[in-house]
Parts: sequence; structure tokens; C-alpha cells
Amino acid sequence: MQIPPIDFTAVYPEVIVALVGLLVLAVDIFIKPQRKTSLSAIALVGLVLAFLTTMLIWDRNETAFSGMVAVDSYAQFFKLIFIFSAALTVLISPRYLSLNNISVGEYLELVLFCTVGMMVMASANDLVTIYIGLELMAISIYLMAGFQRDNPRSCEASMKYFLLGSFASALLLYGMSFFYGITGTTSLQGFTLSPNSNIIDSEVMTRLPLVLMTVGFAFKIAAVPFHMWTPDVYEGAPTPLTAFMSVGPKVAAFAVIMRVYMKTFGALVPDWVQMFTLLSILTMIYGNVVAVAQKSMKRMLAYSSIAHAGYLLIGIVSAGTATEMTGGKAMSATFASESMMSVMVYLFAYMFMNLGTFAVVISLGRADNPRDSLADYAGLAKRRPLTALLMTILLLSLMGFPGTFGFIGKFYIFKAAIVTGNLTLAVVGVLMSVVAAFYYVRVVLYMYMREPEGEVLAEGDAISSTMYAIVVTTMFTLLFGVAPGFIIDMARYTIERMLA
Amino acid sequence: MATASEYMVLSSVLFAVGFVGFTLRRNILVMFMSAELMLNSANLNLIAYSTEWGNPTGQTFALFVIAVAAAEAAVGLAILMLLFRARATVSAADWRRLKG
Amino acid sequence: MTPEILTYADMGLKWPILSLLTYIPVIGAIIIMLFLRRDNTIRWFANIVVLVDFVLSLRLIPGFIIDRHALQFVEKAPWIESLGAQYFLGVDGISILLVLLTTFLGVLAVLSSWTAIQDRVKEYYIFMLLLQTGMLGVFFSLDFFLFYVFWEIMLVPMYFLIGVWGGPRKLYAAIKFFLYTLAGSVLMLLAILGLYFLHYRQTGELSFEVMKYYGMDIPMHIQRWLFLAFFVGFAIKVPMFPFHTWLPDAHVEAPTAGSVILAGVLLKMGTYGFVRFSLPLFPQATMWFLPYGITLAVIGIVYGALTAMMQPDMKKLVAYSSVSHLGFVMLGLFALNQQGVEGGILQMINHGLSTGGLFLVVGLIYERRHTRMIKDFGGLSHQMPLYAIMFMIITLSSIGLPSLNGFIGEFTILLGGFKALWMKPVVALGFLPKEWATNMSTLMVLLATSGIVLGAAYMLWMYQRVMFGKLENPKNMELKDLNLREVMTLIPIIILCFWIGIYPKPFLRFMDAAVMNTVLMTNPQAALAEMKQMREMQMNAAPGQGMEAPSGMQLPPGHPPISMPGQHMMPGQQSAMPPGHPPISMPGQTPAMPAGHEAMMEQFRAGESHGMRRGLTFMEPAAAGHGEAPEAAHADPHGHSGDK
Repeated sequence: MQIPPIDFTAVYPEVIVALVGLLVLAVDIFIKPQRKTSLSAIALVGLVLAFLTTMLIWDRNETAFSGMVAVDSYAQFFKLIFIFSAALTVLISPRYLSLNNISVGEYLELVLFCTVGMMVMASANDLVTIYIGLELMAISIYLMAGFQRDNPRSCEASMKYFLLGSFASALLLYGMSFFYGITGTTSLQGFTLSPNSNIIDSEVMTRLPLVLMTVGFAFKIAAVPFHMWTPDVYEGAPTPLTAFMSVGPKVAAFAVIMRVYMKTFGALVPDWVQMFTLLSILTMIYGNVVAVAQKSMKRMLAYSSIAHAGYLLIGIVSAGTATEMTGGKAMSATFASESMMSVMVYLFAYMFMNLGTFAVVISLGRADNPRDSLADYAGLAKRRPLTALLMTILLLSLMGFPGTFGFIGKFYIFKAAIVTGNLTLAVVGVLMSVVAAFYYVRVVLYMYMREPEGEVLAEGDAISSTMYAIVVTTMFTLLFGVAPGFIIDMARYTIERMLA
Repeated sequence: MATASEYMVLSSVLFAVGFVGFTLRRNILVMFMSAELMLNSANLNLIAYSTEWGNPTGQTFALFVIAVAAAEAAVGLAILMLLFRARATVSAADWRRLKG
Repeated sequence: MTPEILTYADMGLKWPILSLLTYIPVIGAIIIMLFLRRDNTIRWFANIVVLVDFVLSLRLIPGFIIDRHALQFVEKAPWIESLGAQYFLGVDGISILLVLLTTFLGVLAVLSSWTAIQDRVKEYYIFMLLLQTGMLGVFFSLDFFLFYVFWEIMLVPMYFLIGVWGGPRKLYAAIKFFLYTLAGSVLMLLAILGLYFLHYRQTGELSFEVMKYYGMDIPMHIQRWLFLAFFVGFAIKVPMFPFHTWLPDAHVEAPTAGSVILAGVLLKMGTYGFVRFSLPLFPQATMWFLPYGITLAVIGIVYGALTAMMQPDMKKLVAYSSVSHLGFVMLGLFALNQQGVEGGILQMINHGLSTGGLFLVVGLIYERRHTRMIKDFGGLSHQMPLYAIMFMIITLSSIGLPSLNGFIGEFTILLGGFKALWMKPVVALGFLPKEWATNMSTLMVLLATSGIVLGAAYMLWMYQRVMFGKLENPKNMELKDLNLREVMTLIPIIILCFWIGIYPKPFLRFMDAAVMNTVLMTNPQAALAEMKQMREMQMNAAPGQGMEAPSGMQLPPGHPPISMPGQHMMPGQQSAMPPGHPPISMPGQTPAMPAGHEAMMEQFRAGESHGMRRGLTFMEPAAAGHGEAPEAAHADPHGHSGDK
């Protein structure tokens, strides 16, 4: 039997990130504790290299590793998001890690491995690859969530995430096993509605993998009612990790969802459109309404990130509806790719603004007090004017305010919904974004219009790598808010090639 | 020799036991074991279908799953140890700090 | 389809004046933020910036073309190309006065804050300047995307102005203001997207250009929803009756300058939105909504006036008077004829001046006494004679005393109202039996008129309680009269009040052509009747002389009754056809050329019969049902399949 050729150039970004992860781990052993910051530098350099190699293979459009891995611009687009989010996480972490005595080397290594997992997911073209990537990502996060060993809250968060995560991947895997039973292959191209096997021949059974896999993915994107782990885990985990995990796994799951549902489950569109519509409405309403009641910034952002998954699902539903639209194949294809493009743009925006907001939360924390309750933000504009200003911009972006990247994302999502006739979703979406405006604006209100009560503990120092991360994310948020053309064209290009 | 559909019945039972165990029990160890049970029901499916289809994909997939499950178990038990040290209990019902 | 477009270069300007006007304040804000530290420097600088902006805005007047409808000083550049969003600024007769009002009140508001704001001065002026940018942007934008961006951005500085420098319940007021307005505008966003999509399906072109949506062929059931979405967005801003509850809170809590801007300019954005967008974009839906709209406007007038009468707080009183006055504006706009709409726009300006003035006046006394309760005052005219005079003039202007501006506005609106209701009673109140309707609609106008009486009552009563009587409260004994700066803030308003009151023609002439165009698009029946009347007058008077008002007017092609969108007739060909013949289809023709009078009249004659025919469908609701006949005339848009 001949071993099929292996083209490593197809996975250079993954390989580089993984090697850098190992390198960090190795260097960590020999380096003196006070020089640990150089580890972050190594990680950043590695990520820059990964970025460059991703750009190198940007235009390729093929599969590698016997069809297990898709090497296309779609995957590269998402890899860019992961690399950005990993780099920003590396930037925002040192301050928090040193305050909380967390070992830098292991932490960075896990962040990088997690990034590899997400990258594998984005380029997966086979159920096995999806599963491997997903688990690599998830296991890294289980570990990182429990990094504060002496903090029971962190341990509980880790345990909770672990239990629900393995439960979700069991559901996913069970679904995958039926997928294989129906089709005899695990390739994403192999799904068919009319199974010719004697194993599974009923129409209902062909929906089984769809339902089970949807539940599995819904856990990963924290869609209501599969969200219950989110607030606790987000609150208990170390804050930089919360930032990372509110972005990375969600983006990765959406990358897989779009590929699998549009290409593989293309024949089952009516079924999954229904499921996602329901999930989307529940998620938007629940996430936003419950976020209003939160007093802790971390929890509030956790619920807001649940709500964002709801908006993103609007885009997915629109893409599905578009394929069923009457009015010509070309038009429905255009609308489908426009809808998916909106999700990709939104994810890109979400990455910047969410990481930025968490970075602000981190930059205000102290060793003895995380200072993440809403009341701690009272009068911040006087103590830290720049931070307050940047935070305001980031929050406006999360709200979807014009002039920010968040608006562009929301705008395209709602445009997709209107164009494909998903009026209910669009109306629920905009009304819920008004509810969302309430809790985002409330933070601004505390920062600028409230006087702090009682003695004020000074926040951490203003100058740190965390601050760089805040400035960078805000800059991108504004830049792409005013001139989004570049990102939009990029997303459109990748999606059109992927669907073609 | 048992047919694929018989294996499917068995795997469904395993899966159901795991599912119910996970959702109803509050002992972390039992929950963990239930999740493993669900994974193995999937494995059983994969291997049975692999035989039926006559291609090795399902079996290789199952191997991957076993390997991943082992890694997961290692991590999970480590976290459990941590938690036990901090709380001296393995019951999820005792979690008070995070309100859910 | 699009009206004539004259870029700033066409109009003999070397620099993009509208962008300059829009961004001078924001540049000023950035300079303040980065370089200026001392409070007094910042005050001087901010005043200079708004003054420069105002002076520059005067430059719009000399070159402005008033004899025909054209978008002027236009700047147009692609922005987000894949979306079809453009950077498209321009002014026409509808917006120019509002722009001037904005820059004018900007100067006064910034000047009036000199001593009133002592806390966080730097941030205050930054937000004031940002607000000015947002407001100007809204009035200039002729691209929906850009419009929405400015429309929303403007919220943030206002939110801060109320929330940071406001009164005791500022936090509540600020968040209420923010959420109310946001709720309205997100629905509007959906409607904009809907329009965008319809336009794309019909033409295959991606564009947010407002003028391209005019005369679009929208099925009635969709039009209604779009109209309602826009209505909610604008009605909250106006605010119309059931959506007004945020206004008193915001006004009472906002600092004086904030109130001035809020009343003077921000509320006008709602009414401006109706004139610019709702009416011409959705003519049939407007007709359908008219009875409800007029009813709400009248309820607003009476309710606002009655509530104002009960208020113990001067600022709250003025705030409720705004609800009443804006009801008038809406009544004028819903009259859908030349007088009504012109009166409505003029009344926007008047309200901006007189209510802005009232807030300034109340602010002056608040600054001195830190109370606005009417009962705390009395007999102030003895202590502050100059103040009393100024207050009197502005009060009278707000009431609508002849020879002051308010009179002209209200009179024109009521004229328009009577005319409209007399001409088409059933249209005005379509949900009532025909024989009731005439009476009911007269009743509406009479009720509105009662608003004027009530207005006089509450304003004069307040004035009397504050100014006359004995000076009893010892705290009021020490009050100083106005200083030069304070007089300077009020004098310009008073001058304008008299000017508009005595000689309003220059102001009205700005909008004649643009309003005619809007009316023609929304309510061709009224517009054509008016033209007919004018033509007859002209023929009786002096045959051979040209018409005055409608010269240069274009019949908007593809306006609803003519069921072929995107067409326009050449005047020359038109005259060859028998009167009443539908215009032949000439896609791609633009009506940009100024036509000769003869040809224009032919055009009107041709359009007229259509207008009448369409009018009939509204006249007989029992037979046709509302809007169904025009709907049937439309081609089914689903039939157009996009060909991209």
C-alpha cells in the first residue's frame, strides 16, 4: 500500500504555531523567572511568522492530506482572526499573569496550542479533522481555565467547562458516527440525503447527525439553551483567557458551522434553518436581557458574548434562506455568499472589540482586587481619561454604533436578514440591540457621570502591554468602521471561492 | 454474527445511559464516566459501520477518539484533583461560588 | 429621476464648503482635546470655531439657486463601493435654512455656556463641537448610509451633555433620551435596508442615494411597513404625541445650551426626516396614514398646550410647549400642499429661534438663582428691565403675535391645513363616513387653532407670574440685569424673529422650488390644482407673462400615479401627444434641463389627469379601498428577478 504524499506547505501556519508553542515551553525551563517576558516576545514573533505564511498560502485552493484538510482562502481568513486574537491575548496577558502568579511559559504554550486547534478546525475538510481540532482547542482551554490553582473559583470554572465540553463533544461525535453510517465516509463532501446503504435508510435518520451536531456546535458557540456553562466559566477563568475564549472557540465553531452547513448539509437547509432561527431568537433575547441584570463586568460581557452569537446566527440563517430563494440561481448564490460574508465580517469585528473590552477590564485589575464590578468603573473618566475614552469607543462598537467596526458587522448582518426576507430575526435583532445599548451605555454612564462611592483603590498602572492591546484594538475598530472596504472584499472573495 | 443495526441498538442504549447519567447525577466522577460512556457508544457505532461499509475510516476515527478521550481523561482527572483539594468534595451540587 | 445636481465646483467654489462646514467643529474639538488646557482659552477657541462655522455657512446664501429645485454645493465620492454607499453631501431649499439655523444656534449655545459651565469645561466644549458636526452631517447627507451614520453619532455627544452637565435626574434623562432615539433609529435602519433591497431588485444597482429612491415603485403593503418604521424613527425625534415622553425629561435635565440645541435643532431632524424622506418616498402610505398622522399632530398640539399650562417649572413648560409647536409643524407637513409644507418648514425655523431663545432666557435666570420654579419668582421686571423686554419679545414670538415670526409660520400652516382639508376632506379622514369627514377635518383645524389660544394663555401666564407683581422673594432683590455677553446671545434671535415676522419672503423663497417638488411627489393632486389655479390667474391677469412660482419645476418622473418608474417625458414630445395620454416610456431620461414655460404647462396638463385619476381612488374608499388601486397599477416587484 502506498502512503499518499504529504504536503506540509499546506499547513505551515499550524506547524509554525505549534513549534513556537513547543519552543516557548522549552525555553521556559532555562530562562530566569525575571526574564519571562521574553517568552511573550517569542510567541509574538512566532505569530507574526504564522501570519506571513498564512498570507503566503492565501490564494491556494485545494485539499491536502488526502482530502482531510482544505487549503483555501476561507480557512486562511479565519486563521488570520485566530492569529490576531492569539497575538492580542499574548499582549494583554503578562500584566494579569504577573499579578496572579501564573506561570507564563505554560500559559503561552497552551494559548498557542489552542490556536493550532482552532486553525485546524477552520481548515478541516473531514469530520476527523474537525474533531481533532476541536478537542485540541477544548483541552487547552480546560487547562487554562483552571490555571489559578489556588483559586477555587477558577477550578470550578475549569471543571464545569470540562464536563459540559466533553458532554458536547460526545453529542457531536455521536452525530458524526451516524454521518459516517449514512455515507460511509467522513469527508465533508460525502453527505447525501438519499442513503443507499442498508444500514440507515429512513429519512428521519438522515436528520440525526444534523441535530446532534447542531447541539454540539451550539454548545461551542454558547447559543441558548446550550449556554449555561458560559457565564460561570467566563467569570471563573483568568480574565485574559476569558477574553481569548470568548473569541477564539466561538469564531472557530462558526468557521466550521458555515463550511459544514452550507456545503455538507446543503440538502438539509430547511431543517437547520428552522433550528438556527429558534436558537438565534432565544440567544439574542436571553443574552441581552440577562446581561442587563449583571453587576460584574466579566459576567456582563459573558452574556453579551452570548447575545453576539445570536446576531451571528442571523447571518447563518440568512445564508440558508438565500439558497432556497426563488429568483434565479445566480441571485440566491449571491445572497448566500453575502450573508456568509456578513458573518465573517462580524466575527472579525467581534474579535477586535471584545478582546479590547476585556483588555480594559484586565488593565484595571489589581492583585488584591479584580475591580470588575460595575461600581468600580464609577468616575473612571477622571482617573484614567484615555482608558475611559477607548472603552467608550469599544463599547459603542459592541453596541453597533456607526463609525465603528461593530456597526459594519451588524449592518451587514441585518442587511442579509432583510434581503433574504428574515424580517422577524431582523426586528428581534435590532430591538435587542437597543436592550444591549442599555447595558453598554450604562458602563459609559458609570465611567463619566457617576462619582465613586467610598474609598477608591487606584487601578493598576496605565502603561503596560495591555494598554497597547487596547489602543491597537480601538484603532482597528475605528479604522475598519470608517473604511471597511478591505475586510469586506477579502471576506467576499474567500466565501465566493469556498462556495464555488 | 450481529448486524450493524444490532450494534446500533447497543450503542443507543449506551448513549442513553450516558446521557441520563450525565444530566441526572451530581457526582462529578459519575458525570465524567457518563460522558466517556457516550464517547464509547459513538466509537461502537463507528466500528460497526466501518465493518458494514468495508472501509477502515470508521476504525481509524475510533482510534483517534480513544486517544483524544485518554488525553481528556488525564486533564479531567487533574482538574478534579485540584477541585478536590480545594473543596474536599466531588459533588457538583456543592458548587456555590459560580451561580450558573 | 434625480434632480439637478450642482457640485461646489459648478457653483464657482474652490473648496468643498459642506465638508468644511461639517468638519470644522470636529477639527476644533480635536485641537481642544490635544492642545488646549486652560479653561478660558478653550472657551475662546470654541466660540471662534463655531463663529467661523457660522460665517462660513453664510457663504451658502449668495450662490444659492432659488428659482428651481437643485441639489447644490454637492460633494460626491464613492465610499464603501461594494455596498454602494457614497460620501454624498448637498443642500437644497429644504435643508439650507435648517443648516443656517444649526450654525446660528451653535454660536449662541456655545456663547451662552461661558459662565454656566464651570465643571469639566474641556470635555463640554468637545462634545458641543462634535454635536454640531453630527447635526450638520444629518442635514447635508443625501446618502442613506451616511445619513444614518451622522444620525446616530449625534446621539453620543448629546447623551454626554445631558448626562454629565445635567440636573439632578440627569442619568435617567440621558439614558432615556439615548434609548428612545436609538429604538426609533434602528427600526429606521431596517426600513432603509428594505428600500435598498427593493431598489436593487428593481434596478440591479446598489445604491443608498436618497434621490434614487424617490418615485420608486413600492407595493402598498410594503410601503406601509416601511413608512411606519420611518415614522417611528422620526416621530420619536420630533416628538409626536405618544412618543414624546423623553422630551420633558431631557429638556429639564439638560444644561441650557443642550436644551437650546435639543429644541432648536435636534427636534427638527425628525420633521426634516418627514419632509426629506417619509413623504416623498412613500406617497401612498402617507395618504393612508394621513388621518392618523393629523390626529396625532392635533392631539400633540392640544395635549402639549394643556400640559404646559400645568407646569410649575419654567423649563418643563417650555418643553411641553415644544410638543405643541412641533404638532403644528407636523400638521403643516401633513397638509401636503405648498402652504402647509412651507409653513411647516418655516415653523421649524421659528420654533428653533423662539424656543431656543426661551431656553436661553430661562437659563439666564437659572444661572442666577439656581431655580426654575415659577413660584420662586415674581416682579422681576422691576429688577431686570432689560431682561424683561427680551423675555417679552421672545414670548410673543413663541405665541405667534403678528409681526413676529411665529405668526407667519402658524398662519401659513393653518392656511395650508384649511386648504388641504377643504380640498380633499375624505382623504384627510378616510376612516370616517364621508359626511362626517368634512366636519371632522374642520374640527381638527379648529382644535389646532385652539392650540394657539392655549399657547398664548400659558406663555403669558408664566410671563405674568415671573415678571409682574411685587418683588417679594428677598433672594430676587439681588438679581443683576443682563450683561453684554448675555444681551449678545439674545439680540440676534430677536432680530431674526422680527425679520421673519415682517418680511418672510426671502426665507420662503429659499424653499419654494424644493417644497413644490416634494409636494408634487407626495401629493400631485394638490400640487397640480395649485398650478392650475396659478395658471388661470396668470392667464386672466396678463397673457404672455411667464409663471412665477413653478418655473423650473419638474414633474418628478415616475411619481406614484404614473405606473412606469424610471421614465420621464421630454417636453417636446409631450406636446405632440393628446392631453391626458400617459407619458411614453423613455427610460434613462433625466429631467435636468430647465424647460420652457409652454412645455412645462403641457407637462402639468399631462400629469394632471393622472393625478386626478389617482385622487379619485382616494375619494372613493368604499369602491376601491385604500391604496389598492395604485397598488394594482404597480408591476409586481417579485416579477423582476435580479440579474446579477
